[in-house]
Amino acid sequence: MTTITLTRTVQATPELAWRAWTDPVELAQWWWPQWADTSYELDVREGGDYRIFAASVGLGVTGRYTQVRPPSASDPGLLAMTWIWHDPEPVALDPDDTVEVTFAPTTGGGTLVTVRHTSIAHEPDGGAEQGWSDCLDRLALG
Amino acid sequence: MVKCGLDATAQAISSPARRAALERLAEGPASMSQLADVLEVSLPAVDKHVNLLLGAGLVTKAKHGRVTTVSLRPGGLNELAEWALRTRLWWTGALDRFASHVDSPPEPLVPDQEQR
Repeated sequence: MTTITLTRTVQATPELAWRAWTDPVELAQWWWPQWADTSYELDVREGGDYRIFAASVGLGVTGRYTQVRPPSASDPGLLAMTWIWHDPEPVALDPDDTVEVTFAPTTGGGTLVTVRHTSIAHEPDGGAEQGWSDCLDRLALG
Repeated sequence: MVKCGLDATAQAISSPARRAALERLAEGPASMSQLADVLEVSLPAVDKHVNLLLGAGLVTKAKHGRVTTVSLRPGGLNELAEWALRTRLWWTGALDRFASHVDSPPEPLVPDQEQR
């Protein structure tokens, strides 16, 4: 399992940060604003599908929401989804990718947003090797 | 022992000693005993690390007389680096846009909305 973790601390509340990921109008403001024709179809519920596609450049992401739990005061929430890149055909490396996003409140009233992108595409045994994702992070940082 | 792809590469670089060995080999080939000096470990321990790097396709080994020379295999890290960079770079850009979107002040109201 190869995981890349990224974080951002924003001033917005967890509720607003969550909305920026789950409301298609909000998502369109920041996901691919450079491609005005990008379509955002989000069925935000567990088992619901999403499809984000920029036809002009032939790039897209599709997948299914596997966990949808909005953040609350005591819970950073969890938006988990499968993740398939399209370029414009599905990229072979990615069919087993998953993405998890959490929205933890910070003491200053902001939100710590954490994205964990995991690939198990190269693991025919389904994940016997674990524990080195941090090393991969260091590699990518270095 | 020999695995392929991201898995083997990531396992190979999961040890500080093997990363140190790779960094040393980036400067040029080295004998097993030179690697043992760099890593400050025994020859059998070096052998174990080198075998893992071999299995991941990151290095090659050649024996000349009594000296075994280890060399970096060009491009061995490419697949892992490509995945990591592609994924991380994309998310870095997306999250920067996300952060500036949610942190930016709301759009000013247009006049006809202000009158309501």
